[in-house]
Amino acid sequence: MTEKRNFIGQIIAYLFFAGFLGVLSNYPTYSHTTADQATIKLTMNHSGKLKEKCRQRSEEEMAKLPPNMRVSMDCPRERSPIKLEMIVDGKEIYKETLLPFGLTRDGEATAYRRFNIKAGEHRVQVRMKDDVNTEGYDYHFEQTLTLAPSQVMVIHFDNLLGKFVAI
Amino acid sequence: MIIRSTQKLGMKLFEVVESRFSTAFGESWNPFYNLGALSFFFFWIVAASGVYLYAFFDTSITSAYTSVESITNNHFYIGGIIRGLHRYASDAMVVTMTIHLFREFLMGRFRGARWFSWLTGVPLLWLVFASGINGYWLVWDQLAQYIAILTAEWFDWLPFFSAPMAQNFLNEASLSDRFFSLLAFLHIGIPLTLLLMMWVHIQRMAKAKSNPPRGLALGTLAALIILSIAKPAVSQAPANLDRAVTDVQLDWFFLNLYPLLDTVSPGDLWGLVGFITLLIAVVPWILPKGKYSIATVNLENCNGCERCFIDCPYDAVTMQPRTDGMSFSHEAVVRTNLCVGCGICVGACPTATPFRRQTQLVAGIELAEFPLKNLRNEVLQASETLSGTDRVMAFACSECGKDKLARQPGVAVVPLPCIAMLPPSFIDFVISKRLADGVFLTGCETANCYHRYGSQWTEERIEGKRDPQLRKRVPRERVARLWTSAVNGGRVQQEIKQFRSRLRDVGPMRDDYASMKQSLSFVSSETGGNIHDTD
Ligand code: HEM
Ligand code: SF4
Ligand code: SF4
Repeated sequence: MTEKRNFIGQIIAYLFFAGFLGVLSNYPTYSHTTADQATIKLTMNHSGKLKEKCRQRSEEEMAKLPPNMRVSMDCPRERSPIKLEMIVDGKEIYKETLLPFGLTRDGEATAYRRFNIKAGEHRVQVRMKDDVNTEGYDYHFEQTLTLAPSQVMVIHFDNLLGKFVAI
Repeated sequence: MIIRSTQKLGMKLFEVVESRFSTAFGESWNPFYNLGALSFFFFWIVAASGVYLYAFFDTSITSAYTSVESITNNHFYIGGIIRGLHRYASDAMVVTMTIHLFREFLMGRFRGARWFSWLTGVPLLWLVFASGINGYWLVWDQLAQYIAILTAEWFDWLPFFSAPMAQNFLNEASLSDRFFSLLAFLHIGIPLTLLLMMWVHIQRMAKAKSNPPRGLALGTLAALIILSIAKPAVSQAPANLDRAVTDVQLDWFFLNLYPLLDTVSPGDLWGLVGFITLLIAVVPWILPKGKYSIATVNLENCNGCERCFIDCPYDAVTMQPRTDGMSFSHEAVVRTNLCVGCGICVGACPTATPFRRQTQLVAGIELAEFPLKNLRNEVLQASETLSGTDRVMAFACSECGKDKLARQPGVAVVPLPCIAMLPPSFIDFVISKRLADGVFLTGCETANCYHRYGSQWTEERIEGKRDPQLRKRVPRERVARLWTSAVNGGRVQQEIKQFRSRLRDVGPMRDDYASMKQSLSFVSSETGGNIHDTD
């Protein structure tokens, strides 16, 4: 049994399908950021200070522990959560408390944030606090940055230098 | 209730469009009836073109862009066309897969034992999208940069990573080869997993159509080649992480959700796609399953002929060594968790013949809640409502057919879960017993049968190409059939009208045929399952 077919109809259908693929595969063009914007990426991988200081175990405590674990110093490994803030032109645009990685919270706290801001001059401040046992912020960054349109500026915490740097 | 009516309405829309396509392509080439097969076909095009591209692709981040440019521009026309095929066949796969999903949903082909195909379809969605997005990443142009940063930021929301993935893409200085090479390998790994899952997806279907008919395949391939020449797939400007991406040309088939990341948080997007995925996945369990009856084997009537095993479209019948000491070597066994209750096995069984006495009318295989006895009673009762010389007994598939046959005097309608549940001997029975002057069968279009092979098997049984065959002595002018979709109710009415006028022309049944059958009827079934119903 040969089926009835209409080849003109098929060609129209194929052209329509190809056109549909060709167009939606490329258009409409999408504007992710506008040309007058720049990007700041704030990032950090940093271990906070230990949450608790090491302390001497008492005799009684030692007795309770299994013999192979009787170490006189008790050093909890949990680290402080880290408070991180960014202020641009006097306005706070980011504030977060970052937890150390890992189930026992003894790893690094990490941050990554991307901000689109208008190109031009901006006063940028970053503050970080990595110790629950002290008052106030432990690290400060303050700089006037001039951002060209579409420029990507990375402000990251350099663990060797122990401070934030903008590159 | 609302879902049911949306389903109905959606299916109507599909049918209207599809019937147009059937006119142009013919039923068997109709793309809507080959969506799964087309998805497979596109996969093979993508795979074959991918091998070519990969052979010339440089997996280091510094040379990836130039290597792709070189394939596009320096390989005479071949490289460009192959790149175009690779892209557009991937896009096409998204299209056919999406329509396939909607269609299977609207047709309700996820109910009951068919949950398996539905559920194994869900990971295919993710794998197709992952493969495509991963592919765009490798070109390392502006689009790739956009994808890299947004995908990394999106994944960083998940609590698995010790350091944010997005830190790999801070600026040009932070870029490393390691991560990029990993992506290049994933572009083999993910599609291979996709292929494996596609294979799993069709495991529960007997004779799954995973290749489109040649005419359709060639036409589609030609369309893709022409598209690749008319609108070549090219790279955008090279990636430069020191500069933000502004305007970018998106492939909306794959990247349609990415713009959302500019307005909603990564967590919200995870919520959205997670919710959609879950919603799709649970469809077979939250929507009404529909009532259907499972097939059961009556061993004393089964002679192990294998017809039910061959005809079941869902691989739900297996043949196993005889357990009851009868002299046959095998017996049919139904795997109840695979059976969808279509009854096609009943129509295939040689022992399913209405000429047997009432007490003995038990076939080797039967639907537990719709035994042949009941079917015969329905036929007998339906016959009583008819009078005249153009009486028609219509058997219809209840999925696509019942509604096509609006009630009308002179036509009795007997619905079946699938038209192929009707053993051909019933046609003989109706005509020889003068229960009607003609028998009309209607079911789905052959290439688009709700139970996959119901119309085709029936057609072949009537034409004598498939067991059990309709006996040769049944006057063919008294048997009509029409395989068409539910929207074509008008055509069915017209066909019936013409059939009835032909019946009037033929006049009443010849006595000799009837009396011959009379003497043969109610043959004693001492022969057990060995009734011959072929001439
Ligand atoms: C890569 C994508 C996919 C491919 C290549 C594919 C392929 C196929 C093929 C070849 C068939 C058999 C058609 C037949 O012979 O009757 C099929 C059936 C089916 N597919 Fe897919 N499919 C894909 C995605 C999906 C998705 C996303 C879903 C839904 C979540 C889905 C649900 C179904 C259902 C319900 C059936 C019918 C099962 C039945 O008739 O019992 N598929 N598919
Ligand atoms: S009713 Fe018969 S043919 Fe249909 S799925 Fe069940 S065993 Fe297979
Ligand atoms: S006799 Fe009937 S039940 Fe037995 S194998 Fe043949 S078709 Fe199947």
